Amino acid sequence: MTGRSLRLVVADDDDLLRDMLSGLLGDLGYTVVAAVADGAAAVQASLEHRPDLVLLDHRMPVLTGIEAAGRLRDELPGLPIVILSAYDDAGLQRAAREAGATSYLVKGCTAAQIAEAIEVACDGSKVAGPRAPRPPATRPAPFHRAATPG
Amino acid sequence: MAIAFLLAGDPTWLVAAANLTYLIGIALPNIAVWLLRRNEPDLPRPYRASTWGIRAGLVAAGGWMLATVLGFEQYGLPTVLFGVALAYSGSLLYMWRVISDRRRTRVATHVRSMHVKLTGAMLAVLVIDGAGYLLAVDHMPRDDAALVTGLQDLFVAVALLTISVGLVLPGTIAHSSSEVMQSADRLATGTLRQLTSGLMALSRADLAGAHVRVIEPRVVVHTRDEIGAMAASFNTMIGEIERAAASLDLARERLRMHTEDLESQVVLRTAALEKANGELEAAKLERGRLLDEAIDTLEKQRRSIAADLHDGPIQRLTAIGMMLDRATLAGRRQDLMSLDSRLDDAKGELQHEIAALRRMMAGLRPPVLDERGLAAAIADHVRAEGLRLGIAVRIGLEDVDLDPSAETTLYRVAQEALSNIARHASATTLVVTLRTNAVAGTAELVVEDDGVGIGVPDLRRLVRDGHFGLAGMRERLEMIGGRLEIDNPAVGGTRLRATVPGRVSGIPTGEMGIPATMLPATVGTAVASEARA
Repeated sequence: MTGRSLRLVVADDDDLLRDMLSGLLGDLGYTVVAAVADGAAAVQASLEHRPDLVLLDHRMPVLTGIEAAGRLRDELPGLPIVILSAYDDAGLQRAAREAGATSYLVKGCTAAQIAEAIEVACDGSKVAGPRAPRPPATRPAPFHRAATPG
Repeated sequence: MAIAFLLAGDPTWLVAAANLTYLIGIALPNIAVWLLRRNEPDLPRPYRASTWGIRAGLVAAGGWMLATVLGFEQYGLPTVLFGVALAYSGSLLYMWRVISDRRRTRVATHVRSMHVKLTGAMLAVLVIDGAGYLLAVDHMPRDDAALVTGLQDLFVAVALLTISVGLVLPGTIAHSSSEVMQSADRLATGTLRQLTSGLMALSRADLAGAHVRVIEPRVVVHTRDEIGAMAASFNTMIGEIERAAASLDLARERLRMHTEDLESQVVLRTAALEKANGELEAAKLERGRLLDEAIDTLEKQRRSIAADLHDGPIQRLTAIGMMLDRATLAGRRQDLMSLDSRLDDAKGELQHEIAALRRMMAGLRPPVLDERGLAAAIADHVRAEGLRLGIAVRIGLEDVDLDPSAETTLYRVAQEALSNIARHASATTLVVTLRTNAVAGTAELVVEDDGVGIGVPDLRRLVRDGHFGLAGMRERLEMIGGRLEIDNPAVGGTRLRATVPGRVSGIPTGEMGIPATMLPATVGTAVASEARA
């Protein structure tokens, strides 16, 4: 659907949601290389598969999504990270940004919004190369929050 | 004196005058002894004369006086005057002695005393009597010897009477007056001053200084004239003052006892107040802990609800949204099979989520309270717990008309009570009743078991030890104006009674004041026994 097959790591402790998210991403044309249930497993899977992007739930056991983002920023600098959280909270968004997340999505967003966030995050990272620090944004900031559906 | 008589040719008149003085001298002591015995009966005396002896002396004195009157006028007036002068010379010496003694003892010489005045008056009478006699005799014909003799007798009689009265009566009157005066002086400077000081001390609340002890000797006067009456009145006054002093002493003693009683009561009340203050402080601390616990519990509940919402509905609905997204994508791909599958998944998940939300809602407030009422809700819960625990239950529940908060509180109390029974009681039978008290306007839930019993629980200690169940029950009830009582029936087990106020609008009542809601045919109204499962 997007014309390119980005490789993604997905992390969510809810089995149904994790499966559904993986299926949706597959339907959208992405390749989910790993779907895990906690933050630590997400870090481990990212180090193992070197994905193009990591999609993290926030509230997870062992490591939260934001904590996992911080680890990934240190371990794999420049790796696009999208947080998909149930909390529509400005403080959490700020914490996610500080931890290195590229986008912060609130659960309930549409498939199109998820795809847009993934595309924006990956496009921004590709401008400066996959491992180099991203340059200052010349277009609307890649860190954005999808509007709450409704 | 004898030489003077010889040199003067032994004049008979002089001897007669001396005898006159002698007779007066021996007559008056008899009278004086009689008066002394009468006025000072308690004076110490080396010899006590018999009464008849005193009376004989008085008779002799009378005889001597009569002899004086009848026998001495024949010696002529100069003889009588000389004799009288001799008799009074002793009085002058006595007067001189009294004045000397008073000056030596620095006691005021009472020149104006009654004694002096009366004696002076008597002397004046004597002088006037003599002058009258001289004038009468000198102007009377000498040949009328009988008249002259009569006048001489009268003069002598008046003179003797004057001498006697002039010596005795002033002394008697002065003695009585002096007694009254001295007593009055003691009363004024001693007793009355003490009484005044005592009363002033009492007015200052100085109980120790208010002590007055009056023992005032009575005035002893034996005359029955005005002096005697005055002395009697004076003695009455002393008696009244003594009674006043005794009353003051009694009042002081009673006041002291009342003060001591009051002080002891103040000590007791202070101790009780301190104890009550301590209990109040403890109650405040307990209430503070309960409030903290309530707030903490509320916060925990909120966190739990938030977590439940996060882990349940949010995830499910998000997943359903993704299912629908996938269905949309399938539709765009014309993949009808996949479209149907995604829509079925979404529908199934939606129904599952609706059921989950309903369970969550029921946990927050049992819907049965709204749908069927408190009695049915409690009945359901008690039956379910009875089956689960395998104990027999008896239920006697009336429909009651309560505010929603009171209904929820009683339902939670029932849940907590059954939870406690399940964990601690080891009971075989459970009796739960709910009824209204139309008179008190209250509803009462009683949960009774036949288990091991918990005694009368010390809620404060339970709270201190971290057990908030019973204390929380009580707190919930008190917050809506109710109360919790826990006791142990004689047959054993534990009885918990929770009372809550009825609805403000009043509990509807039927005949004879029985609440209409107590009538049969309501859920669980009849006491039903349910066998152990």
